[in-house]
Order: sequence, then C-alpha cells, then structure tokens
Amino acid sequence: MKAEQERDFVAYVTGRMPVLRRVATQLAGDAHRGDDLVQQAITKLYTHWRRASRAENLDAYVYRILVRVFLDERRHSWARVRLADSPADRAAPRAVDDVENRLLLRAALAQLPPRQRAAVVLRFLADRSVEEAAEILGVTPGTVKSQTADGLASLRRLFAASTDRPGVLS
Amino acid sequence: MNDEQILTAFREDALPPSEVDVSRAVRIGRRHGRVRALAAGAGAVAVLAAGAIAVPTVLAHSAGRNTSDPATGVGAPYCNGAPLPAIQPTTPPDATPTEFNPLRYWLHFGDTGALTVQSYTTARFWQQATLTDRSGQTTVDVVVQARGGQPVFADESGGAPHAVDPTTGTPTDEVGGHPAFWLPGHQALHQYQVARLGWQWGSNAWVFVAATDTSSGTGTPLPALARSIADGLRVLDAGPVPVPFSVKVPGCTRLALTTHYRATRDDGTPYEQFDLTFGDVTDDTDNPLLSPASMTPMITVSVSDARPGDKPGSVDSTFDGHAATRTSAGMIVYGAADGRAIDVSAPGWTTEQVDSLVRAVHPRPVVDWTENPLE
Repeated sequence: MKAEQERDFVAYVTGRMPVLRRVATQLAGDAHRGDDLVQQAITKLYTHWRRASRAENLDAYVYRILVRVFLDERRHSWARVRLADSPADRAAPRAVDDVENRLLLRAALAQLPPRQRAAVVLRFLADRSVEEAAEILGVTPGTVKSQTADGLASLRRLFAASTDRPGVLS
Repeated sequence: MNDEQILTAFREDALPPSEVDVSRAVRIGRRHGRVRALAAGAGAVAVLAAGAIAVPTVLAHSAGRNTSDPATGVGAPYCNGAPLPAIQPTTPPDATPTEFNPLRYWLHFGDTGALTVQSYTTARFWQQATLTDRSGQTTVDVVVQARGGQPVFADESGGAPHAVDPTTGTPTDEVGGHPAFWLPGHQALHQYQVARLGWQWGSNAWVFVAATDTSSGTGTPLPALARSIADGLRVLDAGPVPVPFSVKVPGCTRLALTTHYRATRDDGTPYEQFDLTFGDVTDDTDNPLLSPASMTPMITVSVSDARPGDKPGSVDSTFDGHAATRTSAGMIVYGAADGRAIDVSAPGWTTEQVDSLVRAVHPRPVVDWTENPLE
C-alpha cells in the first residue's frame, strides 16, 4: 500500500474510531471484547483498503466487516454451552437509575440472537438506514425491519422481566 | 422508558479508554499483505484473518491436492438433483495424507495426566483437540496438519495469526524421533502466553502442542506440560469417529467438520455435544478461521445435552411438542433426540427448511453411535 493510501486509512479509522467502538461494544457485550472486534475489523480493512476506499459507501463496507467478525465469533462460541456466570446471568438490581438502566439494557441486548442484535445496533446505534443495514447483513430490507422490530420488542420484554416491573418500557 | 429512551441510553453509555491500536492494525495488515502475495504466488486458496483463537491452520496447500474438484470430501453430496461422486482423500506413497477424512481420528493420546480431552474437531486439512484440567485454567491444544499444511500462528506481539516457518523456532529434543522446535506463542484473544512445541510427524506435515495456563501459573511449567503431552502423542489413523446421530447431507454441501465436546456445567452436571458441520461443495477452504470474504455459509447439526438456559436465547416456541428456541440462523429443540437436544444452525435458510432439517436428524442410542452418520 502506498504511503498516501496508508495515511488515508489511518485518518479514516481514527475519525470513525468512537462510533466503531460504541457499535462493537454493543455487539460484543462489553468494551474489552468490543475493542477486540474493532482491532480485528480494522486489520481486515487495512488488507482490503485499496478496494474498500473505492467503495460507494465506505462506512457500510466497514460495518459489514465488523458485523461479520462479530457473527463469526458468535457462531463459534454458539457451539459451546455457557458454563460460566456472565453479567447477563446475574441477578439484576431492583432499583433502577440511569446507570442501572444502561447495565440492564446491555444485559438484555446480550440476550438477543446475534443477527437480531446486529440489526438493532446497526439501525439505531450506528444510524444505518434499513437498506444499508440489509446490505451489511446480507439480508432483505424486510428482514431488517422484522429483526429490529422483534429485537426492540425483546428488549422491552427482557428489561421488564429484569426489573420485575411489567410494562416499564411501554 | 420507550424505544427512543432505550437507544439513547446506549448512545450515552460511556466507554473506557480505547484498547484499539491502529498502528498495530497497519503493522499486521502489512504482514498479511506480504503473506497474501506469497500465498497467491503459490496458488493459495485463502487468506487467514485475525482469528478469535490462535491455532495453526491451513493457509495454502501444496500441489497434489485436488483443489478444483468440488466433489472432494466425505459423504455423497448432491446438488440440484445430481449426485456427485464421493472421492476418498488422496494418500501419497509415503502414507502422509494431503487430506484427512473428517470421519477418522488421527490423534492418539498417551498418558495425559490430570488433563482430559474437552473437544476434538476433525476437518479435511487439520484436526484439533483441546485438553483441559478440572479447573479449566490449564489447557493444551493439539493440532495436526495434513501434508502441505502451512502453519499459522499469532506471535508474541498478540497480533493476528500469520504464516510461520516452524524450522525457524528454537531446536529442542526430538519428539518420536523427529526434530522438534519451540515456537513463539500467543493466544490472540485472551493474551495468554503459550508454550508451543512443533515437529514433523510425516513428510511436510506438522503437529503442534501448545500449553496455556490462565491462572497464576503455579502449576506444571508450561514447557514441561507441552513436552509430556507430545511425548505420549501418536499421529496415525486412530479409528472412526462415532456419531450420536445420522442425518441426510444437506443439498449442495459436504461434510466439513465434526466436533465432539464434553464439559461440566457450573452445577457439576456433565454436558456433551456432537456437531456435524457441512460446507458448500464449491468451497475448498473448510476453515472456520478464514476471513469473511473467504467464508461460505456453513450448516451445523448438533445433538447435545443442552437444556433451556444452557445456551443464549430463551425458549420461545414448541416444535413437535418439545420446547424450542428459534434463532436468526436456526433452532434448538430441547429433548427431541431421545431426551437430548437437536440444534441446527443454517444461516439464510427459511423456517420450513430448518424444520425439515431438524426432522431429518435420527438420533442413535448412547451405546450405539454410528460410524456412518451421513444418509
């Protein structure tokens, strides 16, 4: 890769880093694993930068890499039973303030199926359009719509269950 | 709280300082570029990307492997109504195979001390077993490659895996009469150091034993542990892979992997799972650590001791009278296989296709697993 292309790569990645980290964190369930996803994704992006930089929608290209890294990781971990306690398994606090809400929501998000979670994160946290999310996930726009609707419904249900306050999200 | 408040809460979630290193991505990306160029020159079929786990795997395969024939592999794949002939793996005169039959084991362990085999995966170009102790903190990964496999590891920098010439490692005492080398090791995702010993078990075919300890490291020194497993290990056709079910090979696919996994839940109860994974007949990689660009969708059919709560997702439906969890890629049906669960992952398939595949799984009694699981 030429030095100029490499500078473009670094500039692009540095500029997008905050939103990439935020999206990856919500996909992975915690910031540490989210950063692992970003690290893998930008490494892949570097190797494909010549083609990627010519993409009509570079952001969508990058999100596609990120989501596939995430789904690959999930696909392999799905083969394994959950043997250890994870934050989502622990008893949720009864009282809810903003911080606790976020923790509970994060735990609820972690319980969504991977592709449903990816659809929710791409649509509402990465602010991708239905069409862009569909392209990134390799599904139809209709599937994105149904997955995001189902995902939000599940979030409401899971959050209500964890706070033991039915309808708290409605 | 409404949907917008939910999403706002996510957006406002503060993040800790970044652990992402752009310069490392550039450094590793450059190295990948060089490896890709080399691989392309050698007629390589794929590019390895940053894997979740750092195990050696196959980057390129030498001449003699029939990479252009989509029918190569195990089973009798069929596509669009036309059956394709099953071709047995080619075995050269020196008996070091260029491919393994995924329905045959090639690792035979001797005395493993306090370690037991937790998982064993068979694939066309490599096989991998993971041994653990009771605590799960000490693990030994054993990977055997078929002839011509290119070793690929993460190095001590913790970066993405890349091609490694094992003979550049530190020479050490022979294993089974073969020259052996200590190799730089790193577990990419969890950042643990490993003691990795490699030697050629056959002509241009390597086997690696990598010991890792995630505890404070007060147990057996890792090099001694790796050496003890290596000394008891034999690489040979060790027999068939018994499978607890049979299933019709999904259309346009062939068997790519088998995985047998055994563990203990937190509550002390045993857990066992067996997977058959099918790949596209036109895909010659069969490698779960390849980059997304190289991946083709894979279909996995599992029978396991899973019960609701063992895996992500809640029970949300019933299937033929059994509790079930539908996922974006498939379904798990609890108790459907003589009390065990059937788990199907088939990305892109319709609900009807997934249902049909679940019904095509025929469980076998515990005492009578089959060596011929492909219908």
